[in-house]
Amino acid sequence: MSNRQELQILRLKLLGLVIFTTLTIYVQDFWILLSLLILMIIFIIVIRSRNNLSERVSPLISIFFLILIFQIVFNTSLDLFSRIGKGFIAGLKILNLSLLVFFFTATTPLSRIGAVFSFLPKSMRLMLTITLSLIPVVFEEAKKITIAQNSRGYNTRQLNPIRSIMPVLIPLIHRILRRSEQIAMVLESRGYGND
Amino acid sequence: MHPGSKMKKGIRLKNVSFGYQKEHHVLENISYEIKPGIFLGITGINGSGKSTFTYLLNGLIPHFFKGFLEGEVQVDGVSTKSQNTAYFAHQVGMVFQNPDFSLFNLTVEEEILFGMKNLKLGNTEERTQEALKEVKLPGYENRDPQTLSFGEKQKVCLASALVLDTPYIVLDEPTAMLDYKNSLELYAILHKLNNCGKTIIVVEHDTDFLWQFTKEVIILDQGKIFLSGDNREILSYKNKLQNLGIKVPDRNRKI
Repeated sequence: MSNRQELQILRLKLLGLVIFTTLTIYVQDFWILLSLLILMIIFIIVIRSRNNLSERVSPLISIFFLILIFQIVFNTSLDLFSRIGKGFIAGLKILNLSLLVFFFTATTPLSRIGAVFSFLPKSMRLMLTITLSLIPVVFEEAKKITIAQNSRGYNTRQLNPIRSIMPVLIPLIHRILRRSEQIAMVLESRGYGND
Repeated sequence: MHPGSKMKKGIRLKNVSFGYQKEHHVLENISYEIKPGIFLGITGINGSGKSTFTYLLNGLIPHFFKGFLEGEVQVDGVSTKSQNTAYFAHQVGMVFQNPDFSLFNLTVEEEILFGMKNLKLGNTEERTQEALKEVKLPGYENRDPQTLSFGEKQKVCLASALVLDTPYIVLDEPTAMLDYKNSLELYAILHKLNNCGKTIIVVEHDTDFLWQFTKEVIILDQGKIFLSGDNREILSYKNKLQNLGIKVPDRNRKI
């Protein structure tokens, strides 16, 4: 397949992603959202694996239930049954959106995602490239920091979420800031802004 | 006129003092002339101002790090105050200490192309291949830089500086996180580049490498030049080096 054809397929995939995410945001029907979710789960299991899927979905389950609880507790203008329905719809939307992006990124190499956005202005493309390249790096660093803190007796499963996340979050932010500073220096020293 | 076409006059530092804060000088009254074609080593203990020294050489100070700069740095006769860092990117290639923090593109090829696109250089494909061959990474064009080993990442950073074909190349502790084999490979590349006429300025803690590869050495202590001159002469002051906390080179060590 030529580069041009590959790029066209990638653009079509991106367009599909945009259309489906827009639809997911606007659709309010529980059954449509549920069908989309089931369809996506089947696709991901076929293309990737059950492990990849569970890794992606397990942190979202807690968010799903949090949204449901928030709807039940705070959306007092509706009756209980409608609140539960709204909670399920909002939760399903989050799950669907996340899996749509996962489906796209799982079937498209990172290096090609950058190429899809070649029509954007230079500065925006650069921002996008840096973001895309650093997403896995940030996750990897968070994992490394967690291991380092665990080896010093830090317990990740504390009840207090702030106390639980801070020992990882603070060094992670520090590292991200240092990394951003060095990237900015590299950009300058390689002539960025020479136009 | 293209900056590269000017006569090389070297990098001249005249009474340079710099501090990130007003009262605290990181570098104090530095005067030195880096001659074209030299292999210069800079060493000193942590916090002696080595990295800050390198930031002076391509205009990162005063354009990126504003701080408080006194005196003047001239690259081939052009003051770093008068032009921005992008201008000096034509003359000074920079390799930073931590390659992990320097790579931000999705492929090795894009990483190397980045500087060339900015400086609007031609023959990009040919230059990319040449640079990768130079650092002994041919065939790595489509690799994700983040998945490479540390040594390979550092070599990609060097290749990204090499493609710009700058007369000066500055490296800030390039071997700090490398094993001996990779460090040696890197110095062999630098040695070859120096033989081809490039001016190499390297910040290094391992004085064995400085002894073996450099021609001149600067030893910084608390932001001041403590010793400078011929590498063999300077690195022979055993007591002075030991008092500063700098490793005395093993002259018998075969590198």
